Amino acid sequence: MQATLSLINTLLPMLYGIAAIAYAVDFFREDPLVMRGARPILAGTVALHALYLALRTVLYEHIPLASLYEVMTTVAFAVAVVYSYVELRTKTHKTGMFLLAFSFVFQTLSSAFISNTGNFPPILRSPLFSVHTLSAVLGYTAFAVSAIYGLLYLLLYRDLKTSRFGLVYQRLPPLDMLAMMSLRAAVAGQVFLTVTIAGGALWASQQFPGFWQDPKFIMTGFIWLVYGTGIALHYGLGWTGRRTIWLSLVGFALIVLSVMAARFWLPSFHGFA
Amino acid sequence: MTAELLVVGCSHRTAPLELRESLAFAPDQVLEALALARHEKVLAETMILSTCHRTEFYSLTVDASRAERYVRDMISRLKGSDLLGSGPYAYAYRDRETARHLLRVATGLDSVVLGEVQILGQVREAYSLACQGGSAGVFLGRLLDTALRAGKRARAETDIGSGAVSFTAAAVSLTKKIFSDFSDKNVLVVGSGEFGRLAAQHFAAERPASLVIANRTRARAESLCEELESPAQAADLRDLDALVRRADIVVTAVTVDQPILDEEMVRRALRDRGGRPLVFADFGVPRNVAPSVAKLDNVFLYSLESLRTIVDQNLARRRREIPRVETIVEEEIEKFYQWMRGLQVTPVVKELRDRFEAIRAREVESRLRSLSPADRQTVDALTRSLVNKLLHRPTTQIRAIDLAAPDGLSRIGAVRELFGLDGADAEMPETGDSATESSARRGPDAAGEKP
Repeated sequence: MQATLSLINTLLPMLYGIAAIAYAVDFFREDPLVMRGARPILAGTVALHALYLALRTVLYEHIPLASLYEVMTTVAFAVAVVYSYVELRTKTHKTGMFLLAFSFVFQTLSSAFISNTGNFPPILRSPLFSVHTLSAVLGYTAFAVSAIYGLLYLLLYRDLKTSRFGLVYQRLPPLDMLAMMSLRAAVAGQVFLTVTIAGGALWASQQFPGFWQDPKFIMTGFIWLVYGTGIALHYGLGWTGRRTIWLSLVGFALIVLSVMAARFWLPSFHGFA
Repeated sequence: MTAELLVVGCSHRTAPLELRESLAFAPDQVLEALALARHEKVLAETMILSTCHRTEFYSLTVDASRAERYVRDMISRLKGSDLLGSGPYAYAYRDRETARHLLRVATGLDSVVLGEVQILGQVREAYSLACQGGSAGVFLGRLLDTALRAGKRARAETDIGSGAVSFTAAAVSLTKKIFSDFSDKNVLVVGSGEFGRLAAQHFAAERPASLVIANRTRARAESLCEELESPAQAADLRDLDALVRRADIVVTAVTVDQPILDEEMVRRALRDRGGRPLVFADFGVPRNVAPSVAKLDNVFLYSLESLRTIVDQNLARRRREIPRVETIVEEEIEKFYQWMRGLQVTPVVKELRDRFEAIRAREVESRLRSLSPADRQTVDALTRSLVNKLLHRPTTQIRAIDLAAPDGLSRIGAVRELFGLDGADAEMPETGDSATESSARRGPDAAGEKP
């Protein structure tokens, strides 16, 4: 089983790379033939990735969320699944290149640095911890998707403002659709983040009594406030367009910062992520 | 003689507007011309395609030169002068070139606006009139099917018809890049001149939540509202400030010295929008919307210059598709001529074999009556084998004739002439004293026996 895992671990970055390239070729050259090949490649990659995560869970007896690189492979998988769903729902495949490039980068980093995590600390085997980590990964994935659609929104916004009618104008979905995709992903992310914070607080209150002073916990609360403000302004005051997109991007930048800080710079019991 | 296709006419490529206007046939005039052609029997099948950019007579005829003269003469009689006779305005194509021309027309390759789609409906309408006038037969029917299929394929398989190529269509397509759904959007059109009318028509087709047409003379706005397919409201230009505040898309097309919409007005309109985009398409020259409006957040301002960029890009994209459409045209022409070949070569082979079989059967019947049944059976088999062997090479050669080749139809004509296969009344060759007798004994399949 270990050999199979290693093989899939090597194959996944390549497959995500091929899928991202195929979607990129279609983005730049609009080739229906390439698209006919790209979809099965993506479907196969997602299926293989699901098998990989299942095998890791069985072999190491925990869901693959115990280290930064396990989280990265799960996020790469979740982004690919979310993109496949978006493509099915909206019938537009022009944003595939951007989301699959994200999956490719995350999976490549994960494949390069992931290690055998069989010595999983018993303290992390609690069901509450599983809920906490799983919802955190799903929430971060949704925020990443929101940020990608937000960036695409800004690209298209800039081209529309300056009457540049190039590839971005020709290929991307309409501006309001990108805003809607970004917002819906942010709302989903906010729901998961709420569960993450609640589950994490319950679990940590048993293990780490002073958890609310943890820098990661504080930053996550701040992120929750940023996204919450954006969503409240949209539904309460009708804010839309660039202002809410910028809030989503600031929120995602804070997420990246908090993950890096907890991992490398600040003393935190969130050492793995 | 073999029938061939012919087209005689003129188009925007060869004739000035005045001549095209004089030559245009209204549907009742088309029916009148078709009735005349049917009565005078020079053209076997006829279709008249008459639009603002072309008038063309498509026909099937056994004598193309005579038919060409006849079409010009008919136009002289119907229009009072020989409009196609003088000057370099007219063209006439025969056979494969006729088919190619019609397919190029149907695919939009010959249109004023490359790839425009209306021509397909006009071709269909012309054929419908030809059917109504009783002048469309199996050949034109097949040719029209081929042309319509080529037209549909060109638009489905290539980008020849994609992208807006008029300023107003470009404004709509640009706006669609900002708003995916018009059903909750309010459109304001300022001005009811030519651009205002076209813009109102294009945006009305998108079924917005509301369409308001504002004009200095309210009566003109009301008149334009009545012309539109979907509901629209007329408004007074003096209420522009309030109208802009309610709009998501503003189209301006009035002639003024100074902009009618300045930055301050647009700022006021943006106040309660919560960042929702506001789009301006300015068709005015000089501009109707102050250029400084463009720098405001969530405001998208497009002038004729920006719209021209889109139109030029789309036209360039359409031009790049020409070779692919030409390939479709050639593929469909080939299919049409395959059908023609099947239709024309097979009957010739059958007629030839029937003719030889009739002669053989008659001779066997008349001369070998005295033989025993067994001997007659032997001779019967021998003569059949002989005829088959004699006809083997001619049959193979006839089947190999390519009607699409320049001399294809004339070679088939030569075969018909050589073996006397022209028509049902062709005389049977007689042999000596058995001639009278044999006439009465021809089998039911013998050539020349049909009434």
